Amino acid sequence: MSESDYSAEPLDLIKLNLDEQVYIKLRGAREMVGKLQAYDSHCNMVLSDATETIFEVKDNEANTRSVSKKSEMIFVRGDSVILVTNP
Amino acid sequence: MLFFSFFKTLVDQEVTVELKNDISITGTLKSVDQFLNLKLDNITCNNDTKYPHLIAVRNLFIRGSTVRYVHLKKESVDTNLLQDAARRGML
Amino acid sequence: MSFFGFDATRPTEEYDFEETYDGLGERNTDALNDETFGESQKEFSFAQANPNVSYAQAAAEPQARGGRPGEGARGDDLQPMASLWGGEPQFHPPPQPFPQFQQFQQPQQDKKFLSLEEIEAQMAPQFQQNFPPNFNPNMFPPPPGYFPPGMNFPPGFAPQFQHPGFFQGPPQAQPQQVQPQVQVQVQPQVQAQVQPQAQVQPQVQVQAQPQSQPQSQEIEKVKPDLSQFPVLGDKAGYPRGHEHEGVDELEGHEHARTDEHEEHENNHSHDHSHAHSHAHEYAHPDLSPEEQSRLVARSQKVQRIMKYSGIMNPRDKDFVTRFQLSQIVTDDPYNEDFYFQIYKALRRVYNNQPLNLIAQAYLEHSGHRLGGKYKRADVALQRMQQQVQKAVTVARERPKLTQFAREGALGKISIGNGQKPRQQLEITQVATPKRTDASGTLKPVSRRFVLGALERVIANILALEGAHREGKPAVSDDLWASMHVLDQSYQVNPFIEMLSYEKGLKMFPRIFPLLSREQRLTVVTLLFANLQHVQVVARGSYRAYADARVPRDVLTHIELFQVTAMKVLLVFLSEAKFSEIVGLLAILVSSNNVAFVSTTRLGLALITLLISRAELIKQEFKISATDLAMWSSVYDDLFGCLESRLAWIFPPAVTVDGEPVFEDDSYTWQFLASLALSGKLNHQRILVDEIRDEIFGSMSKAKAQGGDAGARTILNLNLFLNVIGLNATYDEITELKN
Repeated sequence: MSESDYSAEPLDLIKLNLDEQVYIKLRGAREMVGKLQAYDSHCNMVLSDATETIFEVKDNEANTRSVSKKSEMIFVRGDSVILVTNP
Repeated sequence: MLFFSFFKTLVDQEVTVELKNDISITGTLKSVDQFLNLKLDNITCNNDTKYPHLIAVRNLFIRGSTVRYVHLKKESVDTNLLQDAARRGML
Repeated sequence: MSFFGFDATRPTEEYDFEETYDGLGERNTDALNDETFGESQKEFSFAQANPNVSYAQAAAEPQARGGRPGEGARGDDLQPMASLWGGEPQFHPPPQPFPQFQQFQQPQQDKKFLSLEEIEAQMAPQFQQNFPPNFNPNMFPPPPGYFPPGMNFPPGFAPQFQHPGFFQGPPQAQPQQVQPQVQVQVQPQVQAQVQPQAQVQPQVQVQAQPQSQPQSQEIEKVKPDLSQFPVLGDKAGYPRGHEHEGVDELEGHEHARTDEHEEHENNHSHDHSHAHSHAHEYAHPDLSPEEQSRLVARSQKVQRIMKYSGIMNPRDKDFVTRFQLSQIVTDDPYNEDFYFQIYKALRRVYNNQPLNLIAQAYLEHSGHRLGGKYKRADVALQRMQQQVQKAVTVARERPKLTQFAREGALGKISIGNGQKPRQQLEITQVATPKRTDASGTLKPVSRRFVLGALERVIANILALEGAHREGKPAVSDDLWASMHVLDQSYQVNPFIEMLSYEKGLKMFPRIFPLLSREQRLTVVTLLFANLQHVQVVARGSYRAYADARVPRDVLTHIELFQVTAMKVLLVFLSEAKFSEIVGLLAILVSSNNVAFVSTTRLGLALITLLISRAELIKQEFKISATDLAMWSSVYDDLFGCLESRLAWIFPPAVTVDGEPVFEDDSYTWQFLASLALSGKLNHQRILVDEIRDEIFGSMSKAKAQGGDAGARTILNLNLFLNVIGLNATYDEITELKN
């Protein structure tokens, strides 16, 4: 890619995903998928039509189970965010 | 600043705040500040088991750093404007 | 001392010391007694054999603490070795009955409790000095029986003792290993290593363990071990008899060698000392047996080599080297070959005066000062210089390595220097498609690039809108450039790619007002030219899907397109000139696979848009003959592309769970209607022929649907049929009556 790389800094990569589906990994074994509507430098974000998935470990087993919750519009505080990418 | 302005537009709306200690509180957003501390009025608790009984509490102040999520209604938000504001970096 | 609960207030003489020995010395209590003490259950008396010797005093001697002789108890390290400098040797002859070992004691170094390092440090200065008169180089290695069979030290030990002035250290200590008792009694003369070695030896004998070199242990143990003191049984039982014999043999051996070495003593290089120090690196107790044997073999090899070291001095070696070189260098080796010349002369001279010629030849070729043509050294040197020059030129002309890399066994080895540092990375320049104007390899378009460009466009839009809001004039050049509309250097036009994202479609209507008319026309032209590449168009074709159904999200996307871009296009085309519309249609037909485009919702919709617009203009306004001609030719082209494939525009009937699903196909009927409207009679006839099945299918579909849906279906059908003068009801098709 020649001069095409727009992103000057990492947060600009998040800007590219505005209005697109993003996958967010959060602390506490949580994941969020939704359409990114807004973000800021703290990685606070607003997602629309989001699905949160919580992974839990069953006691004394190797299995994990997951619980999903849906929200039509959700604000996510940035200090929980681990990573942001495309799904 | 962006989300401070964003929450200011949501004052008097009903929101559900999920805290990092898994407490979920639904109430009317009355006030917000630059740290995104929130003041909610007329609260109800969503899950009985997980919260210490806030039955007697009507209004409360939540420190912003303890918030994990804030659940909103889609119609409260203008997504296009929000996106453009995010692009600009501020509202 | 109030620690550990030690009660200092209790009387100290409370118990009988002797009583504490009760129970000790009983043979029966230790199960391993027999192993430990062997078959001869001797009574070992631990009483002092020599009451004159005070071990405590000896231990307090400075040597015991690693100091030098002549020091007091205060441990002054700055005193030189008195013995070396001719000081009074404190030599006390051993009172013990082992006279044969006396000669092997070091006369000079008496109280030598030196560490290995100190001894080695002494080695160097001693080399250059004359041997002390009392020096006894006849050190012999411990007898073979001393060490376990696996070690085979005696041959390895030999080289050590060849070096005169090596030191009066460990090698001397080693002969004294055999006489621990003796040295013990004359502790002042004993070296540090002796004691530990002494203690080691009996341990070897007694315990029969495989022992590493005593020297390795000597470093660790400096304190004398009382258990080996004199009376370990009597002489008869002392298992040292065989050692003496071995000692004697080697002693004589060493004598002869030592003499030679004394001559060359001055020429010894330092390497010998180093070699010796290396030779001392015998097996450590920590290594495995095979490593020990390896080390042994290596040390043996080293010693074998070292056995003959020092015979030639550097000057001699240099002479030989130069001579050899000169022989290599010389053009005519026979010229300089002394033997050859003499031999030749001899043979020749059998006839003439033999002696004269021989003598002449000899004198001629020799380089001594009385005769000789030339000095051999000079010639040899000269020849050597020539040789060096030749070598230099050859090396210079040898092709240098182009890159700083050499092949090694494991791959390339690269060597760097200050001027040209080693290359850390090998980056091969793959031929990347360069940006070319016309025909060249096109750059690939990535998602990140498109999104980045799109964000730039949106940023420009926001900026321009903001400027307009505030009343400031702004130029749209930046915006135009960021749109990449005219950019041909990518495999797919970036702007077209931008339209495949929802935010791209959303910004479409915002962008148009900011552009000039020409720019807008360019954009529309670009769109029609690349219609089949527009993702939202292409994905709208039912043929792209196995079940011939367009997915829901694609349909949503299509709707978004219709709401955004199509509206804009509609507005634009309504203000477009006839020629432009016809031109756009011509571009569409020529640049796209019309048959494919006709299977897509948006494609059909756009074609419908163009055709209907053209027809409208034609009917409302006056158009020139040329335009008309152009229009009809374009129409014919279009029709030709679609001919015999018209039925494809209808997506196949879909059944979900056995129930037929009726999707809205009004767009197809609208298209057919506009096509028929602009066509001549034969066109229409062909149309009807091809979609006859569909016509009747729709009627039955309407009957099946019933109600509003059915009515809608019939309505759609009649969109087309009315154009050609027909009308359909649920049951039949009749002529259209106005």
